[in-house]
Amino acid sequence: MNQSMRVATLFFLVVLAAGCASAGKSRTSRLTAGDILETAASVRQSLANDPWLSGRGNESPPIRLGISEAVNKSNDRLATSDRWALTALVVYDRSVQSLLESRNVRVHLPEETQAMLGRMGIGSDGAPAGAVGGDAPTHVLLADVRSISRQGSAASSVSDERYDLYVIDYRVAELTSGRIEWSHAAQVARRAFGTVAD
Amino acid sequence: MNALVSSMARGANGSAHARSAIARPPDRIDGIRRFGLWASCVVAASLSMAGGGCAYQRDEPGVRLVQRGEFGAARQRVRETATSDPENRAYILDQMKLVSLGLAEGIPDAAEMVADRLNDRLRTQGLNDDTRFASVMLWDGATRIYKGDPFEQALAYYHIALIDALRGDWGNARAASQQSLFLLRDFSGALRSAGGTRDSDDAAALVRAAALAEREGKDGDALGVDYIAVASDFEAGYLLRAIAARRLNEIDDMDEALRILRQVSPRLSPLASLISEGRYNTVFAVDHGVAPEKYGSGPDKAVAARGAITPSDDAPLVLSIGGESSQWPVATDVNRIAASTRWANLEDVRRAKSAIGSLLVTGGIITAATADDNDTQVMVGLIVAGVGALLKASSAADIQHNELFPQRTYLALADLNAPVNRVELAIGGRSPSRLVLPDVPAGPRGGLALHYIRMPLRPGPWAVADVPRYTNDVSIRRGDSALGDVLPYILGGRDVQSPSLAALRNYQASGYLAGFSVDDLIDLYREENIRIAGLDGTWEDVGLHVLEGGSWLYTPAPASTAYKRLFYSDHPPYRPRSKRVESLRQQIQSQHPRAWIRDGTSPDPGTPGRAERRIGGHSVRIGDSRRFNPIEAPAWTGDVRCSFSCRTFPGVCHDDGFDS
Repeated sequence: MNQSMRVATLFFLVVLAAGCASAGKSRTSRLTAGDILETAASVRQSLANDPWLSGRGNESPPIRLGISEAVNKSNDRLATSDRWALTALVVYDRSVQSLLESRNVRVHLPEETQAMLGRMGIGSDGAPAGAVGGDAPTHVLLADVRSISRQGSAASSVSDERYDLYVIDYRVAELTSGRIEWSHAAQVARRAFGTVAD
Repeated sequence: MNALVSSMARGANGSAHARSAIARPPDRIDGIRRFGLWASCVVAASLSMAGGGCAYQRDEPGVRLVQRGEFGAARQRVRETATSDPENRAYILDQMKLVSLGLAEGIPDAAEMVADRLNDRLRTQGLNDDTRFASVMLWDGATRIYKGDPFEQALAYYHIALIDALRGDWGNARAASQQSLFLLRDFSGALRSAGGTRDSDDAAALVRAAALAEREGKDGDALGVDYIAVASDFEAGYLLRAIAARRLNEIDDMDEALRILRQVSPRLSPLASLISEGRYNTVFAVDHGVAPEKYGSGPDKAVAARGAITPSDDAPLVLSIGGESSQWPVATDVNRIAASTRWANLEDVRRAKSAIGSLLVTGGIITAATADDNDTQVMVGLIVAGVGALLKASSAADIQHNELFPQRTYLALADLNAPVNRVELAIGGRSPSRLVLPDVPAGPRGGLALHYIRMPLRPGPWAVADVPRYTNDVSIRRGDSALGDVLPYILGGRDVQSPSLAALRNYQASGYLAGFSVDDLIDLYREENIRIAGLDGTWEDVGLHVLEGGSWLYTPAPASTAYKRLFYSDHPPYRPRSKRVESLRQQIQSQHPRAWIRDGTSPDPGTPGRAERRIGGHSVRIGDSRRFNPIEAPAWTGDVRCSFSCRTFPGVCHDDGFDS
């Protein structure tokens, strides 16, 4: 390659390099499906270690645990399916089901709710073992999603980084009294790169 | 100009060839010639892209449709050309238009999926980071992905929030409202200290300051002009966020939104107090006018400017319900924010500055290259010729914009007690508009309903009409079925409800379609290739309504402009496409000769009609009054005389007096 071509090649490599600078980094700080799965896993762990469940046995008074769609109080829109997944994936988890059954807690999931979740692609492999409809639930699993958002830049005067910390507040409430039996806050941090406004 | 620049490039190539032919051997000459040819091709191709991209073409027919309140037809226009490729530069612009028009057409379910995709793209960062440098070298139109000026992004989030609120999803409505309230860059302090301009929000002053910054080597790819981040003054976003937060019982969040609103827009303090007090169950979100035009101004049209299409004024929205009127101030004037440098993406200014920088860099290459190598000098000369031409060609500002957005927004509150309300909306000022909505449902007790109304600027008589021309899913549910005599539009009647068991019972109670099942009824629509929203395909597929010559059956939200336009104006009689429906239509015509719209023509809408109604097997005679409103009619008992237009219920019109 003669010198002319080398200079030309170098010139266009510079152009290319400018475009590749942010490749491989996340460009959105929205919650992902992977985040929701991780959240469900952390809830599972918290439930297993919590005195509310560990203090119960299979002879304890029965509990029928319903679920409710998570309430979005975050700074970002959440799809309806994501909001349901945040609570449903907890009770659809087999290890959670085993844990609940051993503490005489039955998941209360009416057929229509199961069908709706199925249409959203949640629990397509079937309802939780031992799920019951019929009688009204005695307890309900609730979740609120909140978030803190920050954006700025380390090197430029144009914001090109955004950071969102999502906090998902889980709780099990006793329906008659409203008493909170168990609570857990799961956190998900998401960071995204690239000019925010453009 | 492209041809001129191309010839300049060819000229440069030719002269270089002539010069180097004296001192270089033939193989060397061929190499340089090849390179010259290559460079010329690059320049020509680039200029071709520049010329091919051209300036953004506004959808003027779409704007006129929006001004007339014909949002379905405007939406159909956009749908027909919208790209489905998220990487396409027009993707976000198309989605913005579809969201706004779906909202205006009163079909939030159809707009929701689009809103999800739009939200996803708006929340994706750095869409143009890969092209920033290249866009200086090539015309932006060829490479840039439209994400909208910040004010357009705010409006898009606001419309997404309205769709969520219309669907009762207040969590997402609050979130989308919050997204519309991003911080803004305020350059006014720096501009004042740099010598001062009469208007510290002046785009021209910013261009000068940016050019100065470039000369001083400040902040390569950004503007290089100091700014402070300030709170958004997008008033509508704060109002909707506060309303949604209150609905979610997030009182602290509501208080924060209203506190900032009072700071940025003290004139809206009374409205903020009403939101805080919470004595309302219904919110009216009203948009009016069309957004300002974006165009290139200054030398080479390099700096983007905005010009109002619908002029700004302070005319309040007058809301009249049950004899009581209230006035509501303009929440956000889009003309105002569009004209502010705070709300512009300033890509035009940045590009002007970057172009200067690129020329300086290129100049550096020249200096280095001219040292001792003639070949390199030739090559660099070609590049410089090309770059110079490209910069000239690319100097025009990117003027893509959403011409279908509104010019202003209002938010009004009401505490409605009646289940169905007659609501009149009027906006005075320089662009007056009036709309009567006879079928507005109240919010649920203890709950909250939001209605979205896009006011038409030049509507037909339907805007203020009180007499419905067609029954539909909403009116039938409210009890019109008790009036009997409903016949599907496709069979010559005036009913456009979706096929269902209830609909079939209505038809059969009127003496039509005896022996039909619901499936038979649906098959009639299938035969006509008419698709039913919620039953066929997805809501997003919903296109132009069958009443307006399309092939879709849907009922817009009852408090929407589209509901009024579709069901309170006359449309041409339906012309069957299938033999089966045509045959059935003729059969009904022969069996019910008086229950028929004269073929091919509609009766005069002002003609008083005399009619017979059959309710529960009893005949009830109706005649001779002009202002019968079937929606508000009491239960039928015995002989009733009232008035209505033949066109209201063609199936029961008589021209020859009372029937026996």
